[in-house]
Amino acid sequence: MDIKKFTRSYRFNLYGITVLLFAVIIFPFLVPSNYIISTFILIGLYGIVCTGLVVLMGHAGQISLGHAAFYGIGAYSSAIVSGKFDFPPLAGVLTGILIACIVALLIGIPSFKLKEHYLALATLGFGVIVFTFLKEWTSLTGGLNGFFGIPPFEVAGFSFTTDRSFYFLVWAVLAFGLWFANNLIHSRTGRALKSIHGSESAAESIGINLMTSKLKALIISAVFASVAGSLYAHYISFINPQLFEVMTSIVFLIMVVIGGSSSLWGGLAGAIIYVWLVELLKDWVPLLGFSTGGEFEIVFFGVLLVVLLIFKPEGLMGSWKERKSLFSPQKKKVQDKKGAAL
Amino acid sequence: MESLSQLMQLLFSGLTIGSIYALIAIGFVITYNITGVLNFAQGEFAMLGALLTISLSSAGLPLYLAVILAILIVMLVGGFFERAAIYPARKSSVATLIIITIGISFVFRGAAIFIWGTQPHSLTPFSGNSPIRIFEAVLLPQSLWAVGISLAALAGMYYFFNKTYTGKAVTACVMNRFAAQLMGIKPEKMSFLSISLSAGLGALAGIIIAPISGASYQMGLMLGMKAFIAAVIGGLTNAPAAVLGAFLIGIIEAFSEGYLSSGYKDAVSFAVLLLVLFFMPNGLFSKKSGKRV
Amino acid sequence: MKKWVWLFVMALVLFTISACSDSSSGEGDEIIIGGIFSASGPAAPLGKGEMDTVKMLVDKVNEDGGIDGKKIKLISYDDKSDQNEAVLSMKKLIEQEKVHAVIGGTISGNTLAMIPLAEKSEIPFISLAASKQIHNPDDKSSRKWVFKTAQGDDVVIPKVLQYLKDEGLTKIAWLNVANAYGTSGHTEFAAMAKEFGIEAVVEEEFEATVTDAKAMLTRVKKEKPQAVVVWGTAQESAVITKNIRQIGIDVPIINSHGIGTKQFIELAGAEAEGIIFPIGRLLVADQLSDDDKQKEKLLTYQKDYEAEFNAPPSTFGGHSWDAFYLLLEAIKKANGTDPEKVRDALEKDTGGFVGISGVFNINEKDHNGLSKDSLVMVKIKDGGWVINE
Repeated sequence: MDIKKFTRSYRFNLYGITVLLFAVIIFPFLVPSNYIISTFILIGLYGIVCTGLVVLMGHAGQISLGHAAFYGIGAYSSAIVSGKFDFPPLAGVLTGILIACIVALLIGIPSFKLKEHYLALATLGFGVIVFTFLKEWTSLTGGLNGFFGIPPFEVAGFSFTTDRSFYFLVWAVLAFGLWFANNLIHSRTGRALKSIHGSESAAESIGINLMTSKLKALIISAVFASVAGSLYAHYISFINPQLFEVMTSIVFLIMVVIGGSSSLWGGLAGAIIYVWLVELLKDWVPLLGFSTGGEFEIVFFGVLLVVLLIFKPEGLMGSWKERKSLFSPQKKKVQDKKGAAL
Repeated sequence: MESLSQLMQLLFSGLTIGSIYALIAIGFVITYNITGVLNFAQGEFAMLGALLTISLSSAGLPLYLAVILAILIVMLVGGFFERAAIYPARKSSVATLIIITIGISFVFRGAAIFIWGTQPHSLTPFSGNSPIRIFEAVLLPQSLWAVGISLAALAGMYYFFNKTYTGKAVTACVMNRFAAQLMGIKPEKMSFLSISLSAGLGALAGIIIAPISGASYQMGLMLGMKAFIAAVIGGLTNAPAAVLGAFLIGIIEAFSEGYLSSGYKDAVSFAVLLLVLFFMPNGLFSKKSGKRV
Repeated sequence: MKKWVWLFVMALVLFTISACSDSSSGEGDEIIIGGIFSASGPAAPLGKGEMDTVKMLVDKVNEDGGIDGKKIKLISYDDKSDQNEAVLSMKKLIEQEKVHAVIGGTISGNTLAMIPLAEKSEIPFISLAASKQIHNPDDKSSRKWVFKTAQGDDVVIPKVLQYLKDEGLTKIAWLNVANAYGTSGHTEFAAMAKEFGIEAVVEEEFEATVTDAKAMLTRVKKEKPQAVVVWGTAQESAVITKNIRQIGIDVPIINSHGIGTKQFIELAGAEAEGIIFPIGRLLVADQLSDDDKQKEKLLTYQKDYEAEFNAPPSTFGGHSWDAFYLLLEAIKKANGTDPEKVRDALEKDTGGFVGISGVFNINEKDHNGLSKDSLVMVKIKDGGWVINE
């Protein structure tokens, strides 16, 4: 294998980064509408969660159907710590990170002892259990009535109350997340993960500890989700358990799959496409003459999703990779799947 | 005496709902083993079956005809779904396939709102509504129908897979796709067959539950999830184990509702799922030596 | 480099799109009203009727020449019962479409998430959801711009408790659905029951997707309550009601105002007979005496809605009827769409407004303005509804 090509395709391109960074920074000054800025805040939040998921799915080869639970853990930690007990918001974020780490360990260790996609099933169950706790522990979470009055995010006396300031906060966190994930991918752990994704037994035979490598990926994705959840709670100021149901986990998965999990940028790309597709369908579907309600938007969304994935099964960023580099991860995956199905 | 009657009651409730999960769970297992797809649209077939039956029977068709026709239509829909969405993507990764089935379930649900509206619909029970009393516990005729039909369906499946030529071909495909191909069996055909078969089973489940709980566009999601747990508890690879898993989940739900609180019902059944996953990863009822298919 | 070219193209496309949708915003000779309803997703049985009602009324008013020669433009979105979509829709309505007022928020959660936006942008917002937090929050945060037209639990629960007290049913079983609707009913019930001398001998929850609750009801049966209160919407309440009778609990059943649809009677079948529940007068409009203030409006709404959609209107649709006409009333009184003036008019000049949900007396202290007299206790008899007072 051509090592040089391999590393290059996963390295950041400095020129491109500068342009992108510039675009992200001037964007809110070009767009006068808070509505557009807030769609990009949501994109940024989802982007953080999905970047974590990309590390887990694209590099450790594990599917999660329960990341909304980590998102919820972050949101409720922030809400309770800063909204109920009046600690500074940063304390809430840290609490969320801590709980997410512990929970990820608890769920990860037994799951990773098993083969294949048992993490998907375990996280699905875990998601429902967390939801039940948020729903039933009413004295702490407010139950299904929701938790409102969460203060705005504040750090060193600066309070993020406007959409524009929050936009910068979220995208800065996202940029840090991408940088961190990129470093991880190029570290020893990252290469170990990649080799696990290729073939577990081969990886094990060259002395890679499957358990710790996979756990690292899971913990990182859990922390990313938790931080995004914390920020979300501060941004909207009202949360309720239904936001963190299984459906939300599935939405995260949708974003990662349409973006493509084999590229680090897949999570962000998926978040952009998802949020804007849903928003644009609101305007476009009535133009086609369907004005009754959201059911047509749902149908169109479903059809587009299916069509997209039939033509780009590796997601949008995934197909790029295929063209760009000789190293193509999906060839191996196909073989794996056949093996699993038989 | 009172506690005995409560016990009986919980058992009846658990078996009734378990038999409905069972029908959908069998569909899960068949689809998974033949196509490798975890079909998250499985529950939507139940919704379609129930609502179609209601429409057909209110259009004046006798109930049995409406049921048969509805099942056939759903099987066609299922087959179409396999050709249009699963077959072209059959070589994609597991995550992609899961999302495709989720996309399809969006389409079904949206279409259902358009056709049947947002209000729930009702179907009259298959035979009478006067409860049968055993030890002070109440058993409805519809529950007998539910359990009876799912057992009959299981027997039918057993016969189909072990005694008929087509069924044996499907089984062969599960065992060894390559060898089956050498024997002149087309796996593509089997994939079509298996999904429309599970669609039919799902539709049947929806039709049975409609007189008990009513039917609406959003009933599929919950049924699908529960049936999915049942299938996993059973090991995802063999249908009879999935049926046992389904009855187990039904009974666990009834008991946690009866003795604990219904708020924790879902959490309890998912906790059982986790326990099974962690301690008996091949499913509760699998034989130790069993080859994973 | 292809990657970056592509990203830029996408950014460009987004810009053009946003520029396009910007152009639709306000000329001065139109009244622009925003609507956000949950017309699909879990809350669809409520939200669909609300959306349809407002659409119908806007057409009707415009056909009659609008208000002072100004046409009404309605921009309505379906939030699909999802909080994030509700928030984005609200932003879009305020920022891009420059609406003069917003009607909507079918469910309490979505409304509570949208309130900070309305308060910050200073746009009148009339909610259709029930929670008390919408107009009278526990944390005393500002609700200057927020009004609501649905009877909250703080109005409905006392009505039910009063009924129980009058009937001498003091030991009851309380069952509520495990969602925001059910739990907020339960919170209010727990807070007020003592005042009326009512005691819950057993309190239980059931899922909105319940199919068989006989297991849970065996426990209820053991406690031998004098009456059972079931707090949920049509489908799940029908299952519970059927199960209660099937398992042989033969005490009066009181349901919530969420079951005021024909579907409930169909779903619950023979077991629906004799059920009592509190509801707005819309359901029993034809039985009201002729001197009832609401009767004429109720019958007109019923007739118009049935002609348009071929289905009877629901009380939820009635909430959006009230929101729409209250808003028109305020705009007329304010002589224009200036948000501050419209808000003040809503608060001060709509006293005694006769609507579908009841007679509104909105004032500075109460942004809902409905009392428990806006409800009647209704009994299900021979597959129909009769007033039970």
